[in-house]
Amino acid sequence: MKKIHNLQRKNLEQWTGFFYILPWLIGFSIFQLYPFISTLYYSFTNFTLLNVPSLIGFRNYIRMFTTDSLFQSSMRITGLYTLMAVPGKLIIALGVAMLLSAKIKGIGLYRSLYYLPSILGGSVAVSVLWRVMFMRNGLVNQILGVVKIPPIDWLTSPNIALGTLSLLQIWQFGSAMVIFLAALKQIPRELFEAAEVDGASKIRQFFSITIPQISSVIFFNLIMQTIQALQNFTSAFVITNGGPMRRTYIIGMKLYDDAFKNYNVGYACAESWILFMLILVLTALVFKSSDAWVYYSDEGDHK
Amino acid sequence: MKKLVLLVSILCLIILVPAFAAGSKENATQPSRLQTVRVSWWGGDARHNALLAMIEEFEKQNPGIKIEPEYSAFAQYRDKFTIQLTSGAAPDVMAVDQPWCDSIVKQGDFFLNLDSYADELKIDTFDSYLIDSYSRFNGKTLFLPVGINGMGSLADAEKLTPYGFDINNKDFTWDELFALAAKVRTANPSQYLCVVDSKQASLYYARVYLRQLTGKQLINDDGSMGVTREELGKSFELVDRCYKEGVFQPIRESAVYNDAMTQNPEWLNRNMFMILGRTSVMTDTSARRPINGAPTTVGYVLPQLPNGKESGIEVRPAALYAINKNTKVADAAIRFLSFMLTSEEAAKAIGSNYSIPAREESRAFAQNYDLLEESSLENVEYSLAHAGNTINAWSANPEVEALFTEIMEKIAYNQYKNMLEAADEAIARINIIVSAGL
Repeated sequence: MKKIHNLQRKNLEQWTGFFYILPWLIGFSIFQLYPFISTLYYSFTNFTLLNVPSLIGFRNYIRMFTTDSLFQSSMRITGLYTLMAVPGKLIIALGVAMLLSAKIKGIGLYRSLYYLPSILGGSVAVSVLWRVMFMRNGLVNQILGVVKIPPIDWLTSPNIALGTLSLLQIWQFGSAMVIFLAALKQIPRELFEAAEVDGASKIRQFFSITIPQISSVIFFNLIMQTIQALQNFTSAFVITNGGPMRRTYIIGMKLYDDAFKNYNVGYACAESWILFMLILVLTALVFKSSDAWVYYSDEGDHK
Repeated sequence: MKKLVLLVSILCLIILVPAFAAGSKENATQPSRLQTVRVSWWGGDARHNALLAMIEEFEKQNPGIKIEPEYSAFAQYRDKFTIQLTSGAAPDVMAVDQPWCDSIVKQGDFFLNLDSYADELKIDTFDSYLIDSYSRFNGKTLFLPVGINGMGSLADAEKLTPYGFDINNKDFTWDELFALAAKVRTANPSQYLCVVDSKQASLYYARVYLRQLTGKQLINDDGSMGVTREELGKSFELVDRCYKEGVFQPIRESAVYNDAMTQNPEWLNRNMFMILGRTSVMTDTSARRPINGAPTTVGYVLPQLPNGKESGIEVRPAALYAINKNTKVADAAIRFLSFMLTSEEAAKAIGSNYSIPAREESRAFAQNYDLLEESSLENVEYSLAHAGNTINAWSANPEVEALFTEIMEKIAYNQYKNMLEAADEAIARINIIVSAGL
């Protein structure tokens, strides 16, 4: 009798748990899972938003890799952007995290201040601000002018514009920084003390203790930031609108243009699936390589 | 274990890749006797205020009808419009941009045939050129124009007169434009004659010149090229010359003001003097650049090619209005549209917020209240008298337009050895766009 009662209770508990996550499940299914599956279906159709989509096989995918030179150049530009923005952001985030892990007065305030750009960064308003700051007669050039550096066409020079967009991404280092900061705090102090006793320099300590100890967090940040960079849209859309000469025409912008300007929604879905696959493959590769360079403190017992 | 949790959470996050899906929503109807009509449009603040005032007047005269306005800027409107239409959530009365019509009508039956209400809407009093060219599809009147746009220019006549500019010379040619620009430059090398962005350079320079030169469509209805590479090359040469001879400001300085060229400080400071464009630029208060309340510019003609095959002037509706085919309040919607397009009160409220009204009577109403600026009215009349061919769907295709904008940028950044190379690139890429769309 008691056994049956226990079983019922366990069942009820399971249902209670399910009930708790139900709101999330519903939201996830409607707003993510359903659109996600729909895009896969639409990617094999000629959907334009207005028509009744009909299946056209792999034609969208074939077009992407054969005739659509813009897709290929967008992918290249997105790759370049990621290569500039992600390492830059990680280095800055780690650097600032190291500075902010120091024990000085008012450190909480500094930490909040440095986190601010991340709260604001993805918004249109900041992109507009960035645009005004980097104009030919904007704030940045005015500051450079004080030290006699001639004005730089941050947004309109075909060779510089993408770098300027990367700077905006790098500037939003806050979230990566906070994660680094937490990781730095977790490193056992005695490791540094032992190293100091052995006469290791600060640089040696950094490379031999800090980096290996936080490698799992570097790994996490690397993946998250890469995904974020590959999916960027707002800054290119607002600041340069893909120009000059489509040198900042990242894949997020092309997706948007194809879907909502040219009404090739089926094609845009196919492109987003290729982007998804690319992110998946990149993530898998980083995971694969992680065995060689990522250290997990809780795995020591099993090895 | 940590790795597994990490992998699962990351996979979940990746699913945030932009996804496109259409929801569905039933058209709202009011059970009460008060009928609600949803009306949507795009525009700037001036237009919003004018239309809201017009709606207030309408509601006063029609106490049984409540108007629910939905308005936004153009870019947001365009994004929302198609999704609303396809998901059945479209408003009862909606503004439609002319270039969208052809492709929307081809893809489905979304709009009410207005011919059944021809008398109430006074369809026969609209400019017949606009109705024939832009309102009728498959023998049905689906859209009605609210205003007319011709093409011309906006000129700072006061500043340009010392350089020999004559506002009364209506046979202004491209050669005269270059000569004027040279004088402007000689007088002060930091001045430029024309404000432009890459899209405008394509639409009002290269494309206009190409039509004047050939009298043909850029792309034929069957998708084949309508012009030769040499002709295309010549139209690109015009833009190339404009950059090289300082008609335009160097692109490195001007590109930041793409899509907002009247915000360019050089224009605001009266160091640039002309804008080529549609009539709406002449009625747009901000483009007219008022200083101490008085506009500093006046409407003028579009430069011509002597012995050109046509004027290059495209006359088209400033915006069209349509009624949702599935509206539950068709009679109220028709009454509103009729009020908006034909009544004196509406003409008074709207003024020149949709360029020049598309009906002669509405023009007269607005003129009575002194609401239409003389030179823009003149421009519409001139444009109607000298209109070139209407531009077909392929030639106005947004992908083709984006391609031309890109080529203009490349010309400005000196990326081509000669303009035939640019023409070859344009033709090759147009063929790809056409083959994907056929």
